[in-house]
Amino acid sequence: MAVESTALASSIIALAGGVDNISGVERCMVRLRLILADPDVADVPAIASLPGVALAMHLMGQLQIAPTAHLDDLHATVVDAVAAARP
Amino acid sequence: MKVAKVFNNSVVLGTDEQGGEVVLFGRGVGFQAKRGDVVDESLIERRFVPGANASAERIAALVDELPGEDIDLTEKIVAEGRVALGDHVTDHVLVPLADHISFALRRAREGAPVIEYPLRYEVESLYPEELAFARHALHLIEEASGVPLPDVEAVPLALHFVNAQFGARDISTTMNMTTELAHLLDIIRQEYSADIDEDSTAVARFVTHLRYLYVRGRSGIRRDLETPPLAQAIKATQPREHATAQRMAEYLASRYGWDVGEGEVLYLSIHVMRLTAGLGVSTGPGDGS
Repeated sequence: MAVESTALASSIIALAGGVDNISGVERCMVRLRLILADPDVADVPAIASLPGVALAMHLMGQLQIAPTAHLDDLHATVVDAVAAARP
Repeated sequence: MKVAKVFNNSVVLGTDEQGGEVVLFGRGVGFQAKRGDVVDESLIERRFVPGANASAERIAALVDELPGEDIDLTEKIVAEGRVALGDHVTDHVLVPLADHISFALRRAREGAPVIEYPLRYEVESLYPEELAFARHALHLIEEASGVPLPDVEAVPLALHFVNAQFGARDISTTMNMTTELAHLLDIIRQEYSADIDEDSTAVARFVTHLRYLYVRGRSGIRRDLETPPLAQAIKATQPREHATAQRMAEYLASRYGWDVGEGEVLYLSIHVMRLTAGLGVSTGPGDGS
């Protein structure tokens, strides 16, 4: 479960334009919500077609990604990755 | 009502005479409007109250992008929820709930896979009323949109209604609380090596008590600082219940650093007595049944 979340988090971060393009990470009950410095860089169709992703789209100024399971792990992994990249 | 901020031609932030903020939506309501202008109330189609869970900015982005029919549907659900669950289901729940429902409909329409929600069993055992109303809400959603959502979608809806009890608090607080409440019930199950009837009124009362205990703990509010004499009596006559309650208090202390106090241990002991009354186990010299 944790391994899957790590792999999914890496793919999402890469396709969203890398950690440098992620200026904020939020979540709700269903969605990981990324605030992107440049939203146009994100390859949304590629993120939506990743295994483990139910739906991904730009909404309300965020890139919203609904994983099919384990949002807690995914959110924590992305938060850690983004924090680690900021000295 | 005056204009505090113009988001675009159809969304402005207004302030009423008491200084309360309301996001106002209506075609033309923001057209050539400036800060300090009096709002043309005849143009207002919808009003939203911002809160901790939905800032004015987020609401403005949301009302611009959410289909109007999804907001209408959510308003109906919130109104019925207030009747079914109580006045704590305020308009604060409208925006996060409309956001959730609209996205759930999107997922269903696009044939996205069903989401595996954590806390499914916890929600079933801890919040039966909210879950029952959430299932009713699924019917209302299907009626209005023609889209049948899977039964598991009642779980996040129920959590939104639980969340409403504590105002516009972040939903992750409610999710953490749910995990902890389930753990506290598990402590009783372990101590008595028995399952407690999950539909009983006793569980419902206990869960309500724990919900408020959790909120007081999080906000640092303490009460019952003095040890009531009754606590000593309970400790002497109901040692097992008192020990179980003590274990819960110790768990909360180690997990969160909360000192709930001896008075609270008394209340927890009484709940443990009620919850285990039907188990047919000896509950000590005070047990007259």
